[in-house]
Amino acid sequence: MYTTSRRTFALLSVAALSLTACGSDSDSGSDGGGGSDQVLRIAGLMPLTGAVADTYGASMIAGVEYVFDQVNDDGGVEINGEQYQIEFEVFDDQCAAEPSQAAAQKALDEDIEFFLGPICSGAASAVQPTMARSEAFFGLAPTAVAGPTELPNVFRTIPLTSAYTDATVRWLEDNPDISKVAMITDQNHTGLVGEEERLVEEVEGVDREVVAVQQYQTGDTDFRAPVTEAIAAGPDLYMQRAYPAEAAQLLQQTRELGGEMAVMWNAGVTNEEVRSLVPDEAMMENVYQAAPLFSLDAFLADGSELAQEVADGVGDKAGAFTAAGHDLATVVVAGLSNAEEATPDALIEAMTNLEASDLEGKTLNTYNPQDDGLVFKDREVDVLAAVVEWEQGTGWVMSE
Amino acid sequence: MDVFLQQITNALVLGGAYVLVTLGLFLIFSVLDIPNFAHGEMYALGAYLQYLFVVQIGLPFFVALVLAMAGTAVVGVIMERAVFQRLRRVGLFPILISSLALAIILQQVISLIWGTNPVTVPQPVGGVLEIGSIRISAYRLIIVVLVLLTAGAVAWLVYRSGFGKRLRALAENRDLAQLAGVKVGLIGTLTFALGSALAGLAGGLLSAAAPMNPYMGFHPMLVAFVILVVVGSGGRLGAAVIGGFTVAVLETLTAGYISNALRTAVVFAALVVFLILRPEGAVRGVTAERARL
Repeated sequence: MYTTSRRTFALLSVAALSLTACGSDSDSGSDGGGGSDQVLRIAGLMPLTGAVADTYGASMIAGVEYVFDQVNDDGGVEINGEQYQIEFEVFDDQCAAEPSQAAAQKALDEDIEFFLGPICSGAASAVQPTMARSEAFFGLAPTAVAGPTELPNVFRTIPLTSAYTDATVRWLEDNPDISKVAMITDQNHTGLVGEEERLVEEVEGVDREVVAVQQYQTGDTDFRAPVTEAIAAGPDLYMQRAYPAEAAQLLQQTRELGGEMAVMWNAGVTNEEVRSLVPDEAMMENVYQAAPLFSLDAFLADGSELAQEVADGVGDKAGAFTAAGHDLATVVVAGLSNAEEATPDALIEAMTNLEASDLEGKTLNTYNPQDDGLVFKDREVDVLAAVVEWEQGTGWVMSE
Repeated sequence: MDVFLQQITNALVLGGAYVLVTLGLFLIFSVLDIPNFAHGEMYALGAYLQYLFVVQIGLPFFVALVLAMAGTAVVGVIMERAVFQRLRRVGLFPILISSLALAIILQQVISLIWGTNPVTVPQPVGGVLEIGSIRISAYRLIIVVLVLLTAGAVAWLVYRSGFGKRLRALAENRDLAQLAGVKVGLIGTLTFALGSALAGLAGGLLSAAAPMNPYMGFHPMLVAFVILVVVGSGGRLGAAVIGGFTVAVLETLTAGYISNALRTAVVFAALVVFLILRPEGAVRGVTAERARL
C-alpha cells in the first residue's frame, strides 16, 4: 500500500511539475488605465514560449509596447473626442498552429476585439478560420503568408513574400555577374514555400539559371549533403531561405565545404544574431539579405533618428522584429485616432481610409501611397523590401 | 566521384554525432530496460552546461567538457534515484510516461535558465582540412576521433572490467545478479550516471558545432532509438556504433542524391522495411525481449 502510494505520488509529482513547467502565464486583464480614461484592450498573438519566443516574440513585443507606452504617456489615444489608455496583453501562441488557435480563442472569450498578430506564417494560417468567424480586428506583421488579408477584418503592415522575390530580382538585375542561382528553403516557412515557384520563374525570367532547388525541415542541423550538392552545381548565388539559426548554420557549412559564392538570406537576421551565431565574421563576406526591414539595424546604419529613439527606448529588447512591431502598432494607433468609435468596425473603416500622409515621419518603413493616396489596398500595404549587405565591422547596410 | 566521397565524409561527421548520443541511451536501455526519452534533453543539458562553463564562466573548453559530463551525470543519478528506480517494478508504461515528462521538464528548465534564443560555443579548434578534394572541418574530425575513442573506452569498461562484468550480469538477469551478490541498485545508478555523462559529452562536444536551443535533443534522440531498434536483441555496443554510421550514410546519400526533404522519411521507411524483414533486429540474440550487452 505504502509502495503504491509512493509510486502514485511520484507519478503525480512528475505530471504536476510537467504541467507547471509547460504552463505559461498571461497577465490577467484589468482596467489598469490611469485616471478616468477608458481602457482599450488589445491582444497580442505572439510567442512567449517556444523556440522563437526570444528571437521573434520579445523583439516584436518590445516594438509594440514602445509605441503603446508612448501613446499612454501622452494621455492615450483619442477616439472621437474620448481618451483611451491602451492595455496591451500578450497571449502566448508559441508561433505554432494549435497554440495560436487556442490563444486567439482565449482572447476572444475575454471579449477582446482588437488583435495584433499572429506574427508567424504558420500560426497566421492556422488562426485564419478564427479570424473569419470573428468580427474582431486583426493587424498582421511580419507574417507574409497570403490568405488572411482576404478577410475584411485583417490588415497587414508589411509586404507579402512576393516583395522578397521582387527585391531579389531587382538586385540580380543590378548584378549581371551572377548567372547561376541555387536555393534551399525551409519547408515549415509557409510564406517562403508559397513563393518558391514564383521565385524560380522570376529568377529564370531575368536570364539566370537555377541550378538547384532544395528543401529542409525546421530544426535540421546538418546541411552538408545539400550544401555539397549545391556547391557541385557551381552557383554564383546560394539563396538560403531559412530562419536565423539555420541560416547561420547553412552559411557556416557552406564556407567549411569550400562554397565561396554570394549567399542571400531572407530571415531578417539581426547584427546581434550574426555575431552570436556565425563563429567567424569572415564567413559573412559576400552575404546579403533580401527582406522587408523588420529590425532596427539597417535603419540605424542609415542614420534614422526615429530608429535611434526606438533603440534607446527598447534597450536590449531590440531584435529581429522590433521595427515591424513598432510600425504595426503605429499604423493601428493612426487608424484608431481616425476611428469614429472604439469598435472593430470603426477601426476597419478608419484603416481602409487611412492616408499614407498620416504616417509620414511616424514609421520606420516608408508606406508608399497606393493609387488613391491610401495606405492599404485590399488590406495590404506598398512597402518595398530591401537588399542589405554585410559590412565587416559594421553590420547590415543598404546594398547599392 | 569527388562529390560522392565528400558525401561519405559528410556522413562520417553526422554519424559521429549520432553515435555519441546513441552510446548512453544504449547502455541505459540495455542494462536497465529504461526507454529514456529524456536522453535527448540530457544531451541538450550537456550542451547548455558547456555554454555555461565556456561562454558564461570562461573556463577552457575541455575542462568545461569534463564538468558538463559530471553535471549531466549528477542529474542522471537524481532522475534514476527519484523516478526510474521507484517505478521499475510498476511496469514499462509509467517509466515511458515519466521519461517523456522529464524530457518536457528539462526542456522548460533549460528555456527558463538560458532562454530560447539559439546560442553557440566557440570551437576550440578552427580551420578546415583538405584531403585531395575532400573538405572536413578540423573540429568535426576531432569529434569523429573522440567518438571512436569513447566507444572503445566504453567497450573496454563493459566487456573487460569488473564493473562491466556486474553490469552485464544485471543486463542478463536482474534477480540472478542480485542473488549472486551484485549490488543492482548501485550498478543501476552508476550505469545511468555513465549513460547521462555520455549524453553530456555528446552535448558538450556538439555545442561548438551548431547553434543550440532547448529543443535540440529531439531529433538525435529519435535517431538513437532507431539505431537501438535496428540493433535489436543481442546487439553489442559495436553494433550501435556501426548502426549510427549506417543511418548517417543512408540519410546523407538520400539528401545528396534524392532529396534533402526526404532524408528523415527514407530513414524511417528503411526502418519499417527492416523490421518487417528482420523483426528481431540486426543481431540475432538469445531473446527477442530486449537488447543485451
